[in-house]
Amino acid sequence: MDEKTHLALQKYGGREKADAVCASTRRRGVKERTLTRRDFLKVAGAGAAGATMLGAAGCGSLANSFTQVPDEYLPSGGSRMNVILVIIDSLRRDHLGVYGNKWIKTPNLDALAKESLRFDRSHPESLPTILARRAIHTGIRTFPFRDWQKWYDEDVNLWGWQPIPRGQVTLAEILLGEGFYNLMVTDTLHQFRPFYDMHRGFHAFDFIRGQERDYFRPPSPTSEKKMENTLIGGPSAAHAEEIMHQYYANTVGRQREEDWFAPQVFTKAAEYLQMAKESQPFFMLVDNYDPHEPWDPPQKYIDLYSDGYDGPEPVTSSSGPSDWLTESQLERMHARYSAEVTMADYWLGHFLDKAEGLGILDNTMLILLSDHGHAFGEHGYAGKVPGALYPELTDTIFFIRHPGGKGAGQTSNHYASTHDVAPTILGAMGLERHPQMEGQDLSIVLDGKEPSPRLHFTAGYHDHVWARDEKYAMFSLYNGQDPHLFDLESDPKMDKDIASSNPDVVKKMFEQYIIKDAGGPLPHY
Amino acid sequence: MRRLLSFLLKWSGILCVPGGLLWALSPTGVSISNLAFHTPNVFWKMFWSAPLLILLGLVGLQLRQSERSGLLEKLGFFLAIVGLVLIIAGDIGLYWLGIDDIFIVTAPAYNAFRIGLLALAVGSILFAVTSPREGVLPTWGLLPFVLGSMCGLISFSRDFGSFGAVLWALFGVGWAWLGLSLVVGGFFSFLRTRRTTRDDMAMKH
Repeated sequence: MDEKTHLALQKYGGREKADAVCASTRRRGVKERTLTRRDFLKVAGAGAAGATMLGAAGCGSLANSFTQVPDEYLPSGGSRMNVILVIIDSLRRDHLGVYGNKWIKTPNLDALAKESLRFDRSHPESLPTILARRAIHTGIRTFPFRDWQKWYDEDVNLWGWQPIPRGQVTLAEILLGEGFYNLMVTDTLHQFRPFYDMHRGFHAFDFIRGQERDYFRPPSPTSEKKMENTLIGGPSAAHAEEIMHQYYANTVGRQREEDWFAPQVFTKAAEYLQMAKESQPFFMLVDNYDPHEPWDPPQKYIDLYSDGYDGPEPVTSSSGPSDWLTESQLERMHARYSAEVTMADYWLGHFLDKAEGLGILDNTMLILLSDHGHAFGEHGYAGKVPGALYPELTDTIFFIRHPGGKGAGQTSNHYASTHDVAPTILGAMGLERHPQMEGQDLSIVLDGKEPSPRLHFTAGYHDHVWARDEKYAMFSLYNGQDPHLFDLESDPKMDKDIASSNPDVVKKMFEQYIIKDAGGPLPHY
Repeated sequence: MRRLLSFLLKWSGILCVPGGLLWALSPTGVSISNLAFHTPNVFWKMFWSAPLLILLGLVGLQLRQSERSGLLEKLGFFLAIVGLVLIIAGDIGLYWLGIDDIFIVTAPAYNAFRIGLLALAVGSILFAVTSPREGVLPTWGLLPFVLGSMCGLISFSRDFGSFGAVLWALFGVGWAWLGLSLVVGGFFSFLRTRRTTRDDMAMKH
């Protein structure tokens, strides 16, 4: 009863009458509510009976939809673009068909490149393996290796080789906060070592054990016997021998091709795709160590590039001058590397087929890059020598495949690098970059825009530094000593050192490029 | 004609009943859509009708007490209306117009939908807790509505699975209950008015 009615009743019949009507109304209200509840129960009973009849009539599934509590009630939406990041270790740019190689067999990488935006001048901002990954994961330059801390005695003794510092935020951690499901598959053994927490931010990760010198299995007579036919020598012979003892121990019992490392990595990644599809949006990192040495792919791949070789097998390099190897040994080593490139390409194709079959490529951005290359005697060196920063070591590959076909088949001359990966992924997602990040968002190139021009690019490898611009490339020791300079216009393979006749250019590149990018004098250890 | 329009506006609050019921049944609708069409989107394509009915109903409720409503109640009403408009716009943008490019995170339609849900829940709570002062809507109708709105606020904040689906349904039930209270209240009011008139007539005689 509202106030107006109550007042009206008082006016015409007095307070007692008004109160009596109110009480009567309240009682009637109670009575009405009882009836309503009864009615409700009748309806509910009829509904239950109806549902039972539906079930009896073979409509059990439909009836279940009514009677069971659904577990879905919010519409899906928001971020639907997933990200797959593929890192292929040690893959030289000049060993891909799409970059001009006429004899290598990389059909899957070539096909992917045609669907992608391709960077023709990509270089790591620092190398090798762990340094490049630090930059990839954080978007922060690892060079110039300030405050480097070697975490334990047995760790790789290269400047800047250490876990991601605690204060640095990783791409996976950022995407985690944005609701992505993060997965990682890798056989890059250095990440399994104590304190290397490069899998932080990932919901699921799989370490494929046993690559190179991964302390995975103890040596056995069977594994030791394999050493007999292995070529060991050169400037780092002891280290190479140590690696091979462990590697053979790790790989005892391999039978099918699927037991090799690249097949294992890409097969596991393909398995993860199935799960990832149920957890979209997802970020998947596939970090594949092959074609890093040791090079022992199945024979059918070696036969693609070498025949008639009879001698101890150069399964691993011994970083340094290559003059300890005969020409045929060097060719054989190069052939074994090329064979691993083709094997990695084949299994990458298997992974991409799976992604396509699941429809994942329709809403997934894929970035593929390598971290550095490898020398096979081109400038008198084999392996990864800090003092030999030639194109075979510094030129890498970098593709971005957008699901909407943006930038497909196009190329860019921008200096793309490892520390651009994280800002590029965040940029493509429309997510804000972390203030710590130093790389550039290259996703704008997909829309036909240009990032801020890099007039030069610099990199570091242990105690050496490297720089390039449109005309020259140079490298030297961290203090500018022992410089090498090359005219890229007339000498793109860097065969003719012109440093002695161009001291001003060397000085300018060291001071205005390297020291400037490093933010001051370089540290040394 | 004017009286008819006024009558319709006054009683449009009843639309909260079908709107709330449709809302409450939406988790079931999603299940049926999944079962029959292998996608929940067929249901979501039709979902806009529920918030539209609630919106019309809410306008009707507000018209009944607009002369006496306070600042907080007006704020609640405004927030709820904005929320409902965002939900409708988001639903139509998502499932009819396809505004959201699936390759971007910003997803304007989806985000409008989700923000709209939160605005609606907060607005509903404010509207419900301030309305008893006006005395137009019965307290027994508003109390379950407050509880339903709180359930909505929880279930809209993130996906809680089956538990969230129940809370989502209770939010719809709250609106339906509020609309129902208007119907029942109106019915008794009609009875009282008729009886009062009869009593007056008897007293005159």
